[in-house]
Amino acid sequence: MKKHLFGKLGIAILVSVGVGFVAVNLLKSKPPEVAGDLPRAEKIDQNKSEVVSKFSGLEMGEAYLVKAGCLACHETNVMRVGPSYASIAEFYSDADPETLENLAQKILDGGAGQWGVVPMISNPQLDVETARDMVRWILQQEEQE
Amino acid sequence: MSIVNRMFGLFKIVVTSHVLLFCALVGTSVSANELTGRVTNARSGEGVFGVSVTLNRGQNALAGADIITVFTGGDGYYSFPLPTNKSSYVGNVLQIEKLGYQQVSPKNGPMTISDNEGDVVVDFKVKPEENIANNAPASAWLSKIPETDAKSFVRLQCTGCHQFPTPRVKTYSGLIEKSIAHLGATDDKEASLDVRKESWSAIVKYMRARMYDIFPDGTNIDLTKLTWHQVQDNNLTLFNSDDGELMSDFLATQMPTDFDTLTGYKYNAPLGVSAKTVIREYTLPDVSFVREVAMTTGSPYIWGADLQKNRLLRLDPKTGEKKWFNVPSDMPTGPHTIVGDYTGNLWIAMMEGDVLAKYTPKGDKWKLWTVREGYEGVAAIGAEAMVHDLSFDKNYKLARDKKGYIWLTLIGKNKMAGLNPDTGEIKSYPAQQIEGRTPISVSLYGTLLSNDKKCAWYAQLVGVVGCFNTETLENESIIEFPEGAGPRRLAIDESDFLWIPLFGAGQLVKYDTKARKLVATYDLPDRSAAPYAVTWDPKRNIIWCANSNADAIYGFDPVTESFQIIPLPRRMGYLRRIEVDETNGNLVTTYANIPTGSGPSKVITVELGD
Repeated sequence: MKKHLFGKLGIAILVSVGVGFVAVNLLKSKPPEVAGDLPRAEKIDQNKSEVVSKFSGLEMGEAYLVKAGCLACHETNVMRVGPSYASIAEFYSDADPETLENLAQKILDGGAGQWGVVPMISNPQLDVETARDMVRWILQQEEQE
Repeated sequence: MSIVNRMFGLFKIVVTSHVLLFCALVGTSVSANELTGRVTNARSGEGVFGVSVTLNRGQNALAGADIITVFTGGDGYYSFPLPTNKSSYVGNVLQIEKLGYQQVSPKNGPMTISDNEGDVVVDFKVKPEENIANNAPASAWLSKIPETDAKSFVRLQCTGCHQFPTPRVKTYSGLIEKSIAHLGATDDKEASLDVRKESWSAIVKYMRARMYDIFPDGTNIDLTKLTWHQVQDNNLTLFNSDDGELMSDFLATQMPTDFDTLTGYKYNAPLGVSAKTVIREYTLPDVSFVREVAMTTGSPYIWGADLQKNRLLRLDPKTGEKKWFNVPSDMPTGPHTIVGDYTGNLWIAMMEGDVLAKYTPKGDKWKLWTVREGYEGVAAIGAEAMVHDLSFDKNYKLARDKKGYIWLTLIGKNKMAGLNPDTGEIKSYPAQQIEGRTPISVSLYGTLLSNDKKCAWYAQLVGVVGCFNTETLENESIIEFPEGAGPRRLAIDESDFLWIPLFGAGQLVKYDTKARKLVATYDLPDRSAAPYAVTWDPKRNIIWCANSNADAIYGFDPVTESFQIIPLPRRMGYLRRIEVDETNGNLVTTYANIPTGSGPSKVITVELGD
């Protein structure tokens, strides 16, 4: 195995927008988009009601992540197949809105990049608003002692 | 209704008696109009046989199935059994399909049906098309890979839960190639192979975790409660680390990377449909997960086990009405395998809590038995016994041995358990042990009782079929297949021949249980079809293969030793078992990709019209 292939490749070019920037609020201001064959609102409502009924103990963003199968590769502190949520949050702590929007799109499209050559699986079953909820939650995670 | 009548209908000469008959049947005074038409070859003008014509009436269909498919006869004509009022189909969508053909007229694929006077006639023109990438079944993508044990093994494991390759798998393959290109390693064979291996290996690990998606709402077998180490533990997962290596190697070296073009794939057997064949699909709610359906004597309903929502479905195939019946348990149960009997009950093996249940529709009565066996107290697959299958007979009805025991396969523990529902007594015995395999990775699967009730024949996915002797309580007549062959849900006919579907190898095996010897092994028309279960059809003397990966049902005639194909009007049409409706001979089944929502969720009936 050629170890050097799997290090951080630093593909994403990040533009810092200064200290004190709160990614979460900016993400929320993005305009809604139509996804799939259902009206967006209806699709989100369906997703929400199912997630609420199945994962009542979890926050919405986290519940989405579990439902979509993300836990199979990611958890908050430990590296599984992919990076931990805390390390993602740390990496993107200074990222600008466009980069963060790209992260939501990355969840939908999958692909390799910042964390090695193994691509993340695509998630065409999600809508972009759900992906944004996921990004919001991920970016709030911190490394626990 | 004869073909001639259909053709007459086309020319708007309505046979009066025909109309009266239908009016009487549907109890309406609205004049009868047919929905009919012809599919022709755009070049020669000749009729094209075996084109499926699918009418999607939407989920608000007035009555019956919301999606109905018929086929063109030898002359290219089709006709729907819908001579009620036009409002039941005008405005809905009509779509045609035939493997190897492309629609050229009307130009835009699906047609919205518009009204006109008299019969509604919708004609189509098609032309042969070499590239079938857009309407090929998943299995077709594997057709050019040489047949090896490794290929069988990958089919066995991957298709065990979902079609393979799914659209998402194809996307992933593209993402790997993109990553290789981004790395600038496209021309570096060794580096490219490393990336592919590492990536597919990640997917194998991912799938060990995604398996948990099969468990029901409120499950205690819960990924969120497990450490990563537990998820990947050889003792608790269906495929161990050696299996994982074999799979990622195969995927990295053998899987196609171009999914835009596919040529040369054929059904390899004649179509078993005619202008009288009708396939009805009943769409179920997205949140339900009815993996399996069954019928029970004396009931006109199709009964389904909803694994996700811990309930049973009762579907009336005539009206399309759906009713749901919750399992009366404080704990999630995950109804999974469902079998009827001769007195109108349903017997259901549960994925969770090691439960077997009996449901009696008359009076809405439940009885639950718990078969706890060496529970390890971990929220992991493989910690529970998991009652997987229960013994049935040649008619796919529940079977009890001479002492009254139902035989159950405990997939988590590789054990056969006997349950006497009269006394509640439960006993269990090890099935054949496989060296180097943990119980869960042996995957003790289907079982049935021989006609003399002495043998509970069972299948272990690792590659073994054996008889558990219900009198001596010992394993005998062990039949070994190559690892990856994957014997799954068996059937037995009235002449005591055992029919073994090899899910991984894509073969059908005939075994003589009296002489205890293998009679023949037949390659399926498509060896990547993944035959999940076989059903013996006593009226037709046909073995039906419920395929998971070919979007088709295979019928095998033991006399002529030949196959016929019933194409399904659906991509991702993952089948698990077929029941033959004893009242009308219809085939009854359901789509069952894991997890919930990853494929179509529908009950299907096939009226062969033979």
